[in-house]
Amino acid sequence: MREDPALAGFFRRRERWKLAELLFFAACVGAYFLPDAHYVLMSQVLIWGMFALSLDLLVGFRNIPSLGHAAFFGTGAYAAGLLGRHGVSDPVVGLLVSALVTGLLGLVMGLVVRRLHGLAVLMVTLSFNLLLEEFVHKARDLTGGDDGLLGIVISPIFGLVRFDYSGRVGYVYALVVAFACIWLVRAVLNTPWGIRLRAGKDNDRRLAMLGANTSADIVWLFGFSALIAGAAGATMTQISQFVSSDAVAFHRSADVLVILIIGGAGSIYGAFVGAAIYIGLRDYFAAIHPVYWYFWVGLLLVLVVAFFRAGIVPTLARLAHRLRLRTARRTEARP
Amino acid sequence: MSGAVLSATGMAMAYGGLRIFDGLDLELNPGERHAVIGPNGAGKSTFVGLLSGTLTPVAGRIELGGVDVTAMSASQRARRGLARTFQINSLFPHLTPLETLVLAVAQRTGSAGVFWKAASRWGEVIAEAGEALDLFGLYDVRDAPTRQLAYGQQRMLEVAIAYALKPRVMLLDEPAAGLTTAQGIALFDLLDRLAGDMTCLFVEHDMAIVFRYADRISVLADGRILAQGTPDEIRDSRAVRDAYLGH
Amino acid sequence: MTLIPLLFNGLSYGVLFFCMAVGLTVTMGMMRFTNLAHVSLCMLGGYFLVQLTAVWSVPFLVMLPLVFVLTAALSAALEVAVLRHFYRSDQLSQVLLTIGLLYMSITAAAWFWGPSYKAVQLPQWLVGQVEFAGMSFERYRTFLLVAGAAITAAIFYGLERTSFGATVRACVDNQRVAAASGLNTSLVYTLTFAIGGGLGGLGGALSANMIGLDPNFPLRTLVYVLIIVSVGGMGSIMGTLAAAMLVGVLDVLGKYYLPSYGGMMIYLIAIGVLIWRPEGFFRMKGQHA
Repeated sequence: MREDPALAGFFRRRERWKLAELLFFAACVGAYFLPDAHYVLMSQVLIWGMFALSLDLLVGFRNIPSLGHAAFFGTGAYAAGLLGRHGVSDPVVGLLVSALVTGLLGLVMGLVVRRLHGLAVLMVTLSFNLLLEEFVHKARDLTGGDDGLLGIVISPIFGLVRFDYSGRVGYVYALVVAFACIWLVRAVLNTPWGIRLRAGKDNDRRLAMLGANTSADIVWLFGFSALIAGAAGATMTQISQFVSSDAVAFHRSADVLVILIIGGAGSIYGAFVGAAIYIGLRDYFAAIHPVYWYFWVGLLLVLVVAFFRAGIVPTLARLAHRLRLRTARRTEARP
Repeated sequence: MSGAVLSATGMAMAYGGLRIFDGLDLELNPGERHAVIGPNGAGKSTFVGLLSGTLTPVAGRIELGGVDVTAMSASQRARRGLARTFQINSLFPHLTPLETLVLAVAQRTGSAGVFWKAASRWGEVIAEAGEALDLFGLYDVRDAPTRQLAYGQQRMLEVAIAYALKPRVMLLDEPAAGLTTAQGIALFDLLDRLAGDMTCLFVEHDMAIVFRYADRISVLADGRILAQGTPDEIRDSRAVRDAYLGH
Repeated sequence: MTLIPLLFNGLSYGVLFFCMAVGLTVTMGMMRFTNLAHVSLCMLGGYFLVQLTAVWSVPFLVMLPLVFVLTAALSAALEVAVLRHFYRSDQLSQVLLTIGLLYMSITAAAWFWGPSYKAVQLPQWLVGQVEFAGMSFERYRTFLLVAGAAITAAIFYGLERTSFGATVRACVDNQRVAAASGLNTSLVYTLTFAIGGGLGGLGGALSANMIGLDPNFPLRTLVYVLIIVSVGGMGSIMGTLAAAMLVGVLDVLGKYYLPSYGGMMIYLIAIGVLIWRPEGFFRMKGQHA
């Protein structure tokens, strides 16, 4: 029998933080110190990135097409908003509660959707999103309707650091939450359950023949995904102390899917790269063509699907890998 | 029925209006190596599908260890100790052989649902997967994604998965498909050594392999079991010769 | 007796949705291609009609077939140039590709025609009310019902009585066998796409004055069309017709009787039906139209 260390090494190597990941975090931290840093914008990148990461769990790691993920983001956002409006103003408590509530909603969705495939899943998730959107617009007393939810009070974090108007504290807060989400997703994907998830994406039928209850997995996955999405929504509410009614809009669901695909599904960081590109484009074009910048998003999406289907991060990773192999072969070939 | 680890009674199957077979009976005794042979299209793979639960019969009853499993899904039967390999490899292209076997072992020991403890810390599971890798000659390619493996290695992995589940009954659908006769014999030698008191049902075309490894043989043709018995009995059977010569 | 006018309204909406959805259900059932940009073609039909009525004083009833032909031609071009390369892609890729096209079409429409609602100039005989059995009905809606019946009849005739129709049915039922038996499937696909797109354009044109035509038209109608296709059953024209009528009527009834939350009814029903019958209400294996 071979020794464990040689085999377990594969898993340990994957669990270790890679250089590229550390650079990513260094860049995020470094961005804080840039002169003229636009903290509000940077926070939005992190929030959209977390939201896209939550969708990645379904789409990238399990191939479940969800066209209504804003339902979860919006739930988290409104939950945090309502808490802040009705006396629970501690941000950390608000964040955790909002995320958990959204996670529960995710479990319910998972139960509904677990045996469905293809178009049916798309339609149920989409319909649920629109249902919630309709509800938010109509239940003005609860949600503020089109005007959004105001009067949200968020206390200083740990009683010490108050959210300020420049957005600096908000950015650090968002960064910590984003880091926590990434850490959590990474950790879970490196467990046996994570292997089972990826196996299910590859070959659901074979997995069932290993005795796995794949529909139960989907329920838990929905819960987990919703948890992260809810955390993203809650963070947005807490930083801005406002909930806009398009937190739950179908438009947001379509946008986050676009972001994920451009950045690259199934790669964790693709979500954030896609978000950066999207927010960057939006900011750049919004000044010039407030309406028409979506044309370029649409075109970019078409080009990505046609030519770089894997998305930016996986394509770059593959290129880097091939480059590494080629240089390794070259060094081997030398006498 | 008594003592049989797997029994099928009155199995009937149809696709649309086309009747494949009617009233098939089969009993597997513990530790038996049972071969199912027959002309192409006789329904051998269909039969395996019915036993494993991926297909639903039109009529019939299946018992595993004395328990009626006819209404149970493939997943439930797998949990009760029934493992199956596919004639065409059904693997996880993006997982490595190590990951695949770790998953199989973890499934068996009930730890595949754990999402709070990292995979690297499951020493015993990994060790057992490593053992299987070794036995099936996959140790050297353990870290390569399955889709990069050669066909022969993928085939070995296909069987290794079933083995790692340490099932009570293994259903092997043409395990040597696509392998050379030498490779096929090597595979069956391996299975012979490993299987121990595992019960095996295998579908095969290569008669050399069938007559060498089977304790009993069932001949499936014309929508029914034409003959059932020891290799000698089958070899001497007139009906079998006619059926094969006829086709 | 408000029920009858409500039903009348609902059914006329149903006609519009049917025209818009029928092309999608056939292409999804036949080519297994999820085309979310189908509603963009509907929108374009609407804008074509607006342009034509503003520029030419051709009779309305001549305009409509013209819109059909124009949109059909555009659909065929789109199919050949872009969409047919993705028939073998996975569903998510198709969804994403067509969302991209959708976004492009919306912004392009805003660029060409501006962001505000555009109305179609209706001929005199379609304006106002008509009296029947003591109740007054809008002429335009009546026209829609009549036109809808005619279009449905034409579709069924085309499918059941022409050899092209038989070919289409064969391809929907089993494309592999159809291809193997020598049918020129790519030509069939292009023509079917063209006809489906043309009908969608026609539906969009007809709905310009009812639902409102602006660059956001695709987003407003996408969900309804998708619900109709999935509830009715992919590839089933009968199912699409029934689902379209149902959606039209229920939406109108819901919004009338429950003004605050009536809009949610359609989504609840869609979710309910899909959980109960994921293949769609009217979809039965091996059946068509």
